[in-house]
Amino acid sequence: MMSPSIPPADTTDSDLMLVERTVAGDQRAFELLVIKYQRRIERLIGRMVRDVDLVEDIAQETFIRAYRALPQFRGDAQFYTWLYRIAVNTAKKALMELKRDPLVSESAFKSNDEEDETSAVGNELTSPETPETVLAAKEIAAAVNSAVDALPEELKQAVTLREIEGLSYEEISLVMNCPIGTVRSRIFRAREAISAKVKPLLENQSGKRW
Amino acid sequence: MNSYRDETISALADGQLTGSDFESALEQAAKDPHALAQWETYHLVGDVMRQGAAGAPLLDSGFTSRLMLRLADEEPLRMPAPEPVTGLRAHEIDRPAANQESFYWRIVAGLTMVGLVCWAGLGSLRDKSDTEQAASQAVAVPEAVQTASNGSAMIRDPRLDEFLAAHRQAGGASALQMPSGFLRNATFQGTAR
Repeated sequence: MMSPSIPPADTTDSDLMLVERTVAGDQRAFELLVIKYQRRIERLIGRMVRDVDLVEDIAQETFIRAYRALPQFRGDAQFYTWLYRIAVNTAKKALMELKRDPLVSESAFKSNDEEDETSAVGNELTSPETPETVLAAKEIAAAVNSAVDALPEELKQAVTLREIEGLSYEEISLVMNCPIGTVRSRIFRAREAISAKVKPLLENQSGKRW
Repeated sequence: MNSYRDETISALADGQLTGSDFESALEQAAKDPHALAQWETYHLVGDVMRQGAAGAPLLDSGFTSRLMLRLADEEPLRMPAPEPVTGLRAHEIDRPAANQESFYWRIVAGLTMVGLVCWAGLGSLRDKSDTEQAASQAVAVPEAVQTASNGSAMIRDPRLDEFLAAHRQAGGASALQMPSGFLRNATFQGTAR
């Protein structure tokens, strides 16, 4: 279940379509992008600063800067690559400002060489986390794993090929020798089954500081 | 109906929708909080499947709503202004380039460099011709008879020429301390004599 944090490739660049919708004035399209990437951005910033409140501030600032700069996004790079650079620069700038503040303790920072996503230990929990957040994350991971294990074989294979291997619906239909519509249905049913196990955990912890 | 809607959101999360399907799924996500929640859960499940506990959220679930509240105060986005259309092609527009200043300096620097290279090249050529001339004078073995420019034959003594060539250092010197060679007598045998 543990694998590199590479998201599955979209057959169509749905991120770019969402960007275009946002630039055309639809802020809800940007909300979808925020929901999609906020966890990765939080973890990225969490590897640079120790204070969870700082993580939230910097993450918010990152998305606001990205929103303002969206008209300049040409789609030459992946949207997350572009967002990643904004997050790193925003975090660096925030850290520089905080280091000039004598009231902020050194314990709020980490060294800059920890910022690189590739150098981070993929599945280790980060310092801003409290024992409660660590426990909650482990519970969610355990719930997802057990739900995947309990899936019927064709659903398990479909969702694994999609989420872990990053195959498109068309490629999965070739591998599983079934129509694309069936692939789409199997992935959806797998997600529903997994979500049913995860949602109670999310609702219990809703409103708390993770 | 809800099942179909959620399946559409699932396909949207996988980037499998285009055109009107994409538009309608986006509309659903915009107006239906449940569809938005499904979008979030599907991405969360994917992140956790790939990264384990590190794919779980670090911050509380109110992050997005707080952010969207802040974004509501933002000014509407503006596309970058397009270049004015003048009917002229880009190379036909007569306006200074952005690097015009440095371009002039590059021309001056380039011409200066060309001048320096030419000067150095001419100097080396002059040195080379002087060296060759001196060498040819040193190794020239005179012939007994050479034809003068007026067609008459000039009588020369090869032994004398050999002797003079071997004792060039004993010859005269000019005011510039350059060897000027020997002044010698020549006998012409022509029709006039």
